[in-house]
Amino acid sequence: MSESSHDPKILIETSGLGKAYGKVQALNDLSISVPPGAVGLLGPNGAGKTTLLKLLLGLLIPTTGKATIVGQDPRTRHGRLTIREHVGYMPEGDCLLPETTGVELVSMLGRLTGMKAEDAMTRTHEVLDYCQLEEARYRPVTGFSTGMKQRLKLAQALVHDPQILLLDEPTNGLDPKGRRQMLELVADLAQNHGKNVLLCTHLLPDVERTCEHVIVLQNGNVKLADSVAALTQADGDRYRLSVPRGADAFCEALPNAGVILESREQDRCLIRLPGEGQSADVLFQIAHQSGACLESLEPAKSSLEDVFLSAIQAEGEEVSP
Amino acid sequence: MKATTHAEVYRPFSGELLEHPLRPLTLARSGIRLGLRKKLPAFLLFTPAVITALVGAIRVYLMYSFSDMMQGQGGISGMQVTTALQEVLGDVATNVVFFVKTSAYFALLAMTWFGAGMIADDRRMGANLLYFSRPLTRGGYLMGKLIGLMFFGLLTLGIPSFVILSTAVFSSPDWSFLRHEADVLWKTALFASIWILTVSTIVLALSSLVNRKTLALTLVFGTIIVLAGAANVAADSLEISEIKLLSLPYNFEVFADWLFGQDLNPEANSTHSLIALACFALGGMALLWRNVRKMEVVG
Repeated sequence: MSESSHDPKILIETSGLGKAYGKVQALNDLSISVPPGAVGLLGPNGAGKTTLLKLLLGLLIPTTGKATIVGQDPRTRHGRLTIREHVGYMPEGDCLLPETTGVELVSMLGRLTGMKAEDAMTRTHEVLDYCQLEEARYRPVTGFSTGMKQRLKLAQALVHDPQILLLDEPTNGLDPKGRRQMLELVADLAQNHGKNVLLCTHLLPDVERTCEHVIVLQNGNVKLADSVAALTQADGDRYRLSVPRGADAFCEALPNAGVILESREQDRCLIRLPGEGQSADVLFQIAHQSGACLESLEPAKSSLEDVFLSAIQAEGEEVSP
Repeated sequence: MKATTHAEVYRPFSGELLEHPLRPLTLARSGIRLGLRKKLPAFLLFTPAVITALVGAIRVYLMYSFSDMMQGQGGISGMQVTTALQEVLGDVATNVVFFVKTSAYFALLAMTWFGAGMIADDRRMGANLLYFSRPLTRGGYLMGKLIGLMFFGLLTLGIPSFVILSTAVFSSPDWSFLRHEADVLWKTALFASIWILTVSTIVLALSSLVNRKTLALTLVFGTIIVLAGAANVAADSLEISEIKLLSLPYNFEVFADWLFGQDLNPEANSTHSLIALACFALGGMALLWRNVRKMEVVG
């Protein structure tokens, strides 16, 4: 493990981290704390996700600020080497050497990490099995499909059993079946095997299916960083109702009681109560008075998509004059 | 098809990482394995080196055998035949040097072919991201690539030289080669080592400049062969012999002549050629280091 002590509740920490490529500011004064577990790094293309991963691995030098991962600073040589021992990185690009077979590539990378030859070979077969590349392991990677290449890249990241996985767009270019398989592997690693995963993607459903926390990046800035549960928790004053009988009368009566009808689709309504902390009993009273039948009432939750879009739109409002 | 009894489960790694693993050797072995994967280029490139080694060894063996046979006959005729043979074929040491120098050119071809893609392909595929996301230093990467390429130099220059020298040692009567011309052994080893190291450095440096093997091949041939030809033509037409110092093969020729004590080219200045060779090697190393640094960490 790392020699320097660090808060076990924080896996990765950045402080004022910035990276510029010439005049293009890829990351801008980024200060985040990434907790252990599965964390989604979400953002549109060009948001700075890959740049952040490379900065964490010491593959890029930051223009400003600093980052620490497992308590090590990737700007120092010792820090870089220690980090790379404890981290498995799955790059985004098609970076596999074409003449190699799956077994050769993964075992060679295992040995480069410091594994003994026999350990590396045993472990290679285990992770290739795990990543469902059993039959393909002795074939040159040139003949691999996109899904197989992505799984091989995951296998090489796993070969030395790292505590942290940095996955850069693992579902890129996959068909629905391949995508499901990849997300199942990532979720299994995070939920059942205690791996800390930083999943970098522009696909919201990938994060929803696998991650407990989410960090939203846009134009090199953090727009949102919290747990998925907190972001999608129920709003105290919004409810979804089902009114199978007397819905028209019920909806007409709502404004008289100060209740706001946000949306309606046939007998399903989304309403907002007038005051914070007000009881939902008022809805039963309105239903009784208007002769409507209230079949169900449940607190309305925001989807991660709603939260993501509102964060992105907020950025748009800031930018537009 | 997947057996229904087979369930893929993730197993934690229970072993330990080595404190000082030989990462360059792992990388070198991978490079050698990849290089030898295509059988036809390997066959075409190693065959001339094998033929040179065989011809050289047979010639050296025959020289000692004839000499031994004729001297065994005694008399003036035997001595005359031996002398005539030496005039035609030269002495054994001269022959050894000739075949070593010939092998060196085949080694250049092989090292160019196998080395051109070593870094260029890594750059093209982005494989440096896989390597440098491991605890591999840029020095380790550089060593791994150098060792891999030097292995091909060893196959095409080191082994033929070893075969010819071994033949000379074992076929010479009363170990005369070992007793009287032992210096040829270490001089050959020195020449082959410097050749392999310098050519490896230059080929890898040029490979690190581009991201396609074909471009790297063009660049290496341009730098070594075309530059050598152009330097010779320019030196002859302008009558400035120093221009030839731009030619790597010329400098090696002069170096070999100086090392083995064969003053074949009276115009040549061995000191200048040695400095030129050192410049080639150091320049290549500096370029290589700079480019590998950029592959590991981008500023």
